[in-house]
Amino acid sequence: MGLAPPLWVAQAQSVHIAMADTGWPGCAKSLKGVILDLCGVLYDSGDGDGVAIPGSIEAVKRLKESDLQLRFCTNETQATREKFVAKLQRLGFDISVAEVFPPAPAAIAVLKERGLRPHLLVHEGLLPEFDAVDKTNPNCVIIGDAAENFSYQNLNEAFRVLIGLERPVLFSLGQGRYYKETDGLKLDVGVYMKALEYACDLKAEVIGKPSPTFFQSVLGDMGLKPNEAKRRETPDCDRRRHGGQPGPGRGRDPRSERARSLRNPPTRRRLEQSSLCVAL
Amino acid sequence: MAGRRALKAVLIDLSGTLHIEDTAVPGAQDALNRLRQASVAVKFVTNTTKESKRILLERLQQLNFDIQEKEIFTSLSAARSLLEQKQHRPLLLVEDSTLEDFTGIDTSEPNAVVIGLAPDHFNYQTLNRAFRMILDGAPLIAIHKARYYKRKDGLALGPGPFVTGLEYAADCKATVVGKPEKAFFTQALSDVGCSPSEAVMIGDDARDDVGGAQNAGMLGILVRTGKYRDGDEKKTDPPPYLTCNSFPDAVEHILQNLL
Repeated sequence: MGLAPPLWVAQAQSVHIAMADTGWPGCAKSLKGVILDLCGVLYDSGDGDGVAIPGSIEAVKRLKESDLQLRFCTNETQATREKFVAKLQRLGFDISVAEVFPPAPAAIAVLKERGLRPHLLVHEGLLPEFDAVDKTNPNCVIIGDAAENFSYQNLNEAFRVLIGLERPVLFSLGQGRYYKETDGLKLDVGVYMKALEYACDLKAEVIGKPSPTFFQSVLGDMGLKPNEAKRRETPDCDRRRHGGQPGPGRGRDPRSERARSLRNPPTRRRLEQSSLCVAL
Repeated sequence: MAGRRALKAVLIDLSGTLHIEDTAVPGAQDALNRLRQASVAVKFVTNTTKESKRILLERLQQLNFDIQEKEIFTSLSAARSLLEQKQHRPLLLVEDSTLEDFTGIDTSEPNAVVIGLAPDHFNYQTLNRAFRMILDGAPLIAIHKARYYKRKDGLALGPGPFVTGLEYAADCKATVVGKPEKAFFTQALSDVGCSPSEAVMIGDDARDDVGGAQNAGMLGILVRTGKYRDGDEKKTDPPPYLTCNSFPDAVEHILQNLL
């Protein structure tokens, strides 16, 4: 395929995809597009802009030079698309806003489609994404990775909006459990999603990874079917419980994932269990 | 009532059933007095975790309820027993006013997380701290998992949502010591000396009061005061033995039908 480093499947969460061809060369031949995660794949978050993962800038460049379509998906909800694309550009990546798919724009499309007006519980940095959205008399709630904004008072406000609706609708931008920053592990949006689900006895709609609709919207933009694209991402921190250090960014160390995958090439079943769109 | 033994005890919820914050449910004091004239033991069971037993008692006495401290059994009492039994050193995420119920428990270098109703502690930093402790192996103890409660200014989140969130974050299960755990009800009845089948619970929370009590083998009476909302009676399986307007109606029914 002429790509280095080679792309492969990382085990993540569950969208069941049927496979007809388990061999890697077979998969690669019918590839038309690639979707890349950002944090933990292209860069590690931390102080300031973070740090590009060695080799990633060149890898993206090579992908763009190939005939593969390329898009980036992320569950980043602490900043607008423009802001964190600017950050990635400062790190040296050839990347543009139109190629990046975070949850917020997808959520706004859903609001429009369904005539919904949101009460927002999100990070300050994400609010500008919603400037043009009608937020009066809210009939749904959207939560993102609000970090410090996850105060009891703010959560209570969101709860009161939901409990007062005849048909409460809660959108969660992602469902991550936690992530690592330089000063330790921090609770992610999924925790507060579960809290509000429990309080209101409802089920949230997840916008962002690993929702199949989210991936389908990216594929739609590429004009591809699931069997024509491959994705690379870091799984959420879902196996670290005791011992071991979690990797940088949102999940396990992609370098150890990489080594593990090389020793154990993905089998059909493992790929079916991943949330990747795989070449058939 | 064929198949049930005669009623020996009545467990009564406090907040939302006998009173709402500093206001008594109309007629509740007289109803309690009438109940006391019957030959049943009366116990007050509460998941209220914002106040110590002493403060609960003071409020109820100020509202002219005839109550003694030893008749009150709280989920804080249940939590304390567990901590002593397991010799845990807790990080207590509970209201400051309830700390007196934990006097004598060592809280240095905590190795357990105890969560009660503590809005002041349910902030991002403190929950992160609790989460990291749990990931490192600290057990998570929930005084109860109430979804919400009624305040003067409306409904407010209880500890349940935060406990659920931490369970999801750390992939663990909390030990819940308050209602609706079976152990809470059987512990409350233990010094009355009767079995659950000889007792009835009156409360405003369909799941925690009525559901929990019935699951423990008691009868449950749901009252339409406090946090009750239309349709709550459909939330338990089996449905409440009785749903009625308020505590005085529940007492009337007991006096006329269950003794």
